[in-house]
Amino acid sequence: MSVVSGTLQSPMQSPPLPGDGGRLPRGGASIVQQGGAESRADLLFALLARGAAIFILIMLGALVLVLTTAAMPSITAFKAHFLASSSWRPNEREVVMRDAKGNIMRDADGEEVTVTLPPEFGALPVIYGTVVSSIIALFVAVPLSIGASLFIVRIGPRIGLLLGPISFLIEFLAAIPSIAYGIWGLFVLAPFLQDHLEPALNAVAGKVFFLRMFHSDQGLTGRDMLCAGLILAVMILPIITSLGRDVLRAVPRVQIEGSLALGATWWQSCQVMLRYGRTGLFGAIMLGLARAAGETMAVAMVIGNANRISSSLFAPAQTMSSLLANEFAEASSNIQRSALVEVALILLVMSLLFNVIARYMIVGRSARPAV
Amino acid sequence: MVKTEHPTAERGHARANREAPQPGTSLPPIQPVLRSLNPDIAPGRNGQNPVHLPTTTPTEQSPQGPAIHAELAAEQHVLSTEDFKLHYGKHRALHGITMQIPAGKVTALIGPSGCGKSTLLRSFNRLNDLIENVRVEGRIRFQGQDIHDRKVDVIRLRKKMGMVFQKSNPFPMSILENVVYALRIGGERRRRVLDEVCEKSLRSAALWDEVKDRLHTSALGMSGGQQQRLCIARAIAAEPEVLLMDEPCSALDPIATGKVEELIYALRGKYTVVIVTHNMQQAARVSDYTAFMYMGRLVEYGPTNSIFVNPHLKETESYVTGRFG
Repeated sequence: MSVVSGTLQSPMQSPPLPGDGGRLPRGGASIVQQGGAESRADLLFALLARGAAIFILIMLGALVLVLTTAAMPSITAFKAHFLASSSWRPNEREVVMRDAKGNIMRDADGEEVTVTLPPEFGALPVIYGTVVSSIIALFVAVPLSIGASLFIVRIGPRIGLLLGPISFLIEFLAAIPSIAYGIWGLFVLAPFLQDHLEPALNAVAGKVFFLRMFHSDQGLTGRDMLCAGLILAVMILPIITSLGRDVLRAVPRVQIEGSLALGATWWQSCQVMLRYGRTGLFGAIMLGLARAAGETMAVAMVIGNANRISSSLFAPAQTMSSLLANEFAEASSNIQRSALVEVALILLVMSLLFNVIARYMIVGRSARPAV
Repeated sequence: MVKTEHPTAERGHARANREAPQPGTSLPPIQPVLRSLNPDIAPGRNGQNPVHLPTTTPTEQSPQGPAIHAELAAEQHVLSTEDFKLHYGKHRALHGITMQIPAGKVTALIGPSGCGKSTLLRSFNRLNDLIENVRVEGRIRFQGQDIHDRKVDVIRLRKKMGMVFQKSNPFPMSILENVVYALRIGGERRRRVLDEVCEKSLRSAALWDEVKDRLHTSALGMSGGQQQRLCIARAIAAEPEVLLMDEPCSALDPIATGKVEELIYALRGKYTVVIVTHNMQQAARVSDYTAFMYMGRLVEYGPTNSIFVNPHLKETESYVTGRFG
């Protein structure tokens, strides 16, 4: 149909070059491999590309290997107890022995009997902190992100909004360094929470029976689990929104039209869209979760850094990454350093799992029908 | 370069698919286009006289108007258009279509790609509302009611018009949930009602025996032909009055096409069916009335038999005999 006419000739089919001495038969080149500079270059490039790919794998392997080796003293010392223990005692400590009734035990001279506890480490509070702060972040960020992506895909074009700048701004949020979010959290969000939001919430939690567990008896500082969760929510909003937008945009038009043609309302047709893209959306959420779990600086600035488990959201806490940021530089003993490395290893494995699941959801399953 | 309206549309059937020229936005006079496509076609094959084609430009109304056969006047009409015009932005896709769709009959819309058949079909259930920059003039009446009237609830309108698309579009749910989707969104929850409607619709779509043992498995695991019949069952389950079909067989193989055609044939009387098709034999097989459209106009409209055997206009004859388009 186009205007192209005449016969097409590939360069290979042009008449034999003088150097070939007319070796090629008339009417086309031989299909037998000729060898020569071109195929050598091909081979070289293939090797280079393969090498680059292998190099990246080796880096990952080396990372895991080094972390595991460095964590070995801690792993052998605390074993699985590391995951279940709440103690974080970098230095050995002398404590007074008490008897069954709680009285201080004394020896014959009336001196207090003491024992020396060795350093002990457990990761439970930081795992708890990471999980809870990530859950708060998802709780806030997921409805907002999905709503925003629906707006960009379904409403924006209809009301003639310039979606380019909006999408750009949302993605720009992802590029802001986390320390900037941390400073904002420390100087703006935390004081706001301390003065306005948390006193009211804490009072309500104290009165309502089933919210009692969220009540905090300590003074409110604003630098606590809730603040960290909110900062994380702001940070993972852009990634879930932009991925969710791509997922929803890829929903075939006939799916939406099909539901509308059956008399679906606007929101019902959106439900079909969300359902069609649900694995992709789940993947987007998992990537957001991976970022929330690994986020360090902003969290370390606003979470209050208290290494204990507290059911209240208004009490200071600690996450794995904030623990590492706070303590690694000051780790005094080898066993403390090793324990910190083990925390890092747990974090790495967790993030890796989140990412693998997310990739599988977005890439692996989109090619297959969602069941 | 000629624009194709639906790039994937041509795959399924090679039988009557001889069309090539598709009027785009700015179309050169058709004779030179045809000649450049295939020198054998334009002067008329077998040494016949050159083909006469409508050469009106899209902006002017053809002087004589469409040829509407007298038989149509005797029919009861459920759906009608009055000087209906539709614009995509500045481009006018439909030029004052006036036609009436007889109730309980199968009406086929034929014509080369880009002639506005699908646009007209999608206007009946106002699916074009979704597309930006669409502007309509004139009227479409459904059971006497102007469908563009402010009072009309477009959701209720669409519930009365089932639609089957070119590409099957089962939702990512179980077969049962697909079929009863229209009831679900209408708020129906009674298990017994849903099961009954599902069985009845699947039987109507001649699909029940094939899928009755796996109603709760995903609809996406079905074959292409089954998926399309599922979409028909889904449209029927809503108990519409009109069934709009937009090239329902274009992505199906001949066996699946045959099944769907039998189904359409069986639906006559119960439903008013409007079917857009590229396949002229299909139009001849399944429809009672055929409308030939060209470049956004209705050219000729009458009983299928007369359109194919004894058309009033030369343009129609050229098209249905495959000499152009």
